[in-house]
Amino acid sequence: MLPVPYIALMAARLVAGGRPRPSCVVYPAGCRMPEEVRTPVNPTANALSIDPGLLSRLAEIVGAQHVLTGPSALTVYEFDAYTLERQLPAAVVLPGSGEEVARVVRVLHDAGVPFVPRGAGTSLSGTTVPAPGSVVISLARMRRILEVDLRNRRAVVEPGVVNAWITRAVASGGYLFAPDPSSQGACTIGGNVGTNAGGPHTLKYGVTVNHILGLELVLPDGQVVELGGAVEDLPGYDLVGLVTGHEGTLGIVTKVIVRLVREPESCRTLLAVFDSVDAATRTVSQIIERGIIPAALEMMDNLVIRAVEDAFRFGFPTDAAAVLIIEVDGVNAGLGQQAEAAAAICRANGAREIRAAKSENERLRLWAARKKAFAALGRITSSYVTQDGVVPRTRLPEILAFVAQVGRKYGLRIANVFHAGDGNIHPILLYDERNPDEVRRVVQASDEILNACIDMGGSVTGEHGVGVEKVKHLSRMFSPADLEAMLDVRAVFNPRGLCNPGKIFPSPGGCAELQRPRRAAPA
Amino acid sequence: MSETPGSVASILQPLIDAAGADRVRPADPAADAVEGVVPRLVAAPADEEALARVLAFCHRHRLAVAPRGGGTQLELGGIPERLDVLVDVTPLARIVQYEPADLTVTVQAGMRLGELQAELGRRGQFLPVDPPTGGEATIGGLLATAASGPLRTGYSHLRDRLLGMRVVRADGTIVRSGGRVVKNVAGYDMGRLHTGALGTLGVIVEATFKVQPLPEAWGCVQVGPLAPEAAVAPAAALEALLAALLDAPAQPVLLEVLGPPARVLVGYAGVAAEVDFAVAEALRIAKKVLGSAGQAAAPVSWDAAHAETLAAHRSGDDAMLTLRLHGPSSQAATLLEQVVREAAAAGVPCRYAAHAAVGTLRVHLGAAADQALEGLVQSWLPAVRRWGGNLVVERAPLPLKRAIPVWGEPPPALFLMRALKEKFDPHRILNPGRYVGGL
Repeated sequence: MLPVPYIALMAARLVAGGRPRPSCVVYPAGCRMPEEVRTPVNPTANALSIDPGLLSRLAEIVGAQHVLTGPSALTVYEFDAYTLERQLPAAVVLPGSGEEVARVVRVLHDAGVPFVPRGAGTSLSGTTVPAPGSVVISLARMRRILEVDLRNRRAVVEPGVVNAWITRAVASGGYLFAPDPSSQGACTIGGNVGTNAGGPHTLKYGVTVNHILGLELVLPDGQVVELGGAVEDLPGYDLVGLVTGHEGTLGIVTKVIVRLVREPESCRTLLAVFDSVDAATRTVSQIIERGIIPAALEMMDNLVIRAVEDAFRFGFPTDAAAVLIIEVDGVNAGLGQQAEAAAAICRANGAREIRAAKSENERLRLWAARKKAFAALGRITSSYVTQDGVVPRTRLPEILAFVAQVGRKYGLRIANVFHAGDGNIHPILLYDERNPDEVRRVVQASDEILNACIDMGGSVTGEHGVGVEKVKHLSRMFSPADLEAMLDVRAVFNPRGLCNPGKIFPSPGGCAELQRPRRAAPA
Repeated sequence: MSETPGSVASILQPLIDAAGADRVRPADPAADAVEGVVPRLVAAPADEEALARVLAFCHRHRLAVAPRGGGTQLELGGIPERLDVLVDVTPLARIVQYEPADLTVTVQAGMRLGELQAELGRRGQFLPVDPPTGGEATIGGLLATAASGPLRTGYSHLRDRLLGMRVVRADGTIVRSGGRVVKNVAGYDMGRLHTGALGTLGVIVEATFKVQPLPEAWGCVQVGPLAPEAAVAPAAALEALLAALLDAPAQPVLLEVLGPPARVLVGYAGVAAEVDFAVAEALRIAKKVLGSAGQAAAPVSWDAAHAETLAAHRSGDDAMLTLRLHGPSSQAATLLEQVVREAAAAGVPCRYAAHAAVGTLRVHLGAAADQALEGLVQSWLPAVRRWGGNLVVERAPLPLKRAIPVWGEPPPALFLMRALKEKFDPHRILNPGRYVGGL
């Protein structure tokens, strides 16, 4: 499938100064525009285009101070961490309770107005980019931890609770919430459920869906339903498993029962330094093959190492081709053996140096450097796009060589910092958004990388979700019948398509709105 | 338009056309009945496409279908409303792809768990699921019933290891979801929807799992008998022991309460040094929590303990009614006490096996009057509901099944389940009447 119209339109928009107009982003040349051509979007008119009666009904529910209108208030909600697309919503409401969420949804549903749930807006795939004329429902005010039950390893939390707060709340009891996306200092549990978030420790502990016992969900018509519960393995369809990863298209999560994990007694964190990316990726593959399951196994390449060293002065070797962060955890008695086994494999693959974090402080700094790697890249580039592909681990050397080749082909710097243990790559394409040619090349390069992931039997998204970014790729991964089954699910939950439209699946008629790219780099 | 009930001839030839002459036969009432309902025909398609054709035909003519794998859990659920064609999935039994270095395996649904484990074992890996029904169970059956065993404690449920799935929809369309890699959020997790759905939304034909390296060592400690004069341990003491074992740095992969006589088995896996430490710790904890008065805690062989646990979970000839109580782990000891006390008061023989960490209690009730058995079920359902739990009757005499709620209390989301069922099986041909809410 040719991405030609997409690129042509992107370039055309930039050349034309970014005048917004509807566009067909998904389909190859010859795509028919849908019967009902969408009316052109005028961002400044959005706030006025919403019915004032509707606004006052919303204000009655959440309080006037929690209904935002007007371009200056709304501009924060115009995009998320995906940044390439933006759309001002018609309004933003901030409910303070699940009951308020349900009433807001009911009002919007009855008025036929689309709505978009939003946590912290850290989505890297545009999951929370507002649809035109939509109302953003922000869960930011709902951030209480309602209940903690360490004996039964669960906690009940509101969706706006920041991921890291959960662990913070239970750490003194010796427990933690395992899913730890790099954005965990900002992202919310509601968002984690929406994307089935991952993070470095998913290798051993699993992803978000493996840690959710129950959900309270507001359906797109305003009904409230409990899914799962406080008890394990309840009979009935696994709707918790279905909704986790729904990217806000099946309803709005207003309460989450999370599963907690006993904090390991101890851990050993190693930094292994390699002179070639190949040696590092082979090491990753072999570690897994030998039956060692580290708690985390992360890789950073030279570009990232230099950026991170510049920012954090951790003492990373700036001439290394790649470093691996390997963490094993568990009972102290077994850690020495596991760490040594991993180190031996590193040495066998020519690791130049292996350093062990000697204190908790050192370990935390090492992880801080890893988790802030994306941000550190901001020092060396004005913009970047983070890709999120997955390949079988055994194909890691191949995909990374391919990524490097793609970088050379398109004349782009591509940095790699990612969950090597899972085969989940994050090639970060650096570019200057003021350079339309570079933007075009970034899109083409991304496409090639994602196609290669599919060809190698992987996925186009390991944890960031499809959002708007990968709608077109979904049809490369799944047949029309496969997608139809998923759309059947969505039709049950979201029959009018009002809840987060335009995400994951091509909309009827097949076209997703593409808005003009950002004009300025984020702060 | 349905066929004349009972008529085999009218549907035999079209099914032969769909699956092949040697793949379709009239049902044998002794071997092929499902909870007393005898299908007209048994079809055993050789591959996915043939199975799809069979289903497509059944869908068009509104013939009720029951998939069957190893047949180890056919007693689960309600009595079929109707049953025309039993679809034997066991011919779909090969490993489609196995990459030890990727820790992933893709296997057809008819493959027996025992055979899969043997294959994985050759490469030092395993699928950490150990249902009491044993190696005869098929992968598809395990998924459709969301089966689990004691190892669920340390290795998560099978649904947490599911990476991708292929399903034949009621109308015969073959669809897939997920993939073959361990991280994948592309599209909805349809595999989770079909797990535990008893085939009511589609017939599972293939699944991809994340496998686990076999640990270097296993170890186990038995604590007990905990109350030599009684059938069950005093709840407070038992709960104190369980809580202490669960809070310890060494996390068990197995934590079982079996009885009578009441005893606790706690198992560990990992490198040898880890397991040795864990076993020593468990002994120390048992002594500390229970004191020395008559409490025996000793290391036991993992294999023997694991086998004993599985046997305790299996219902035998002695069990007229087997049920599962689902509650919070912290209430397991109290619920067990109530179960044993009330069964004794009703004069009903009772033995139990509980996955204490998970909060799942399996209770086998012996021969007794239907009324007595019913009374116990009706007493225990509110007891678990109080804690947000539920109960599932895994086996019961047919007349009793009609009188008791075999799936406990329907979940609040039943209306959503119904809507999904209508969407995915509009002609209600897949296991009608057998699942939660009579779906």
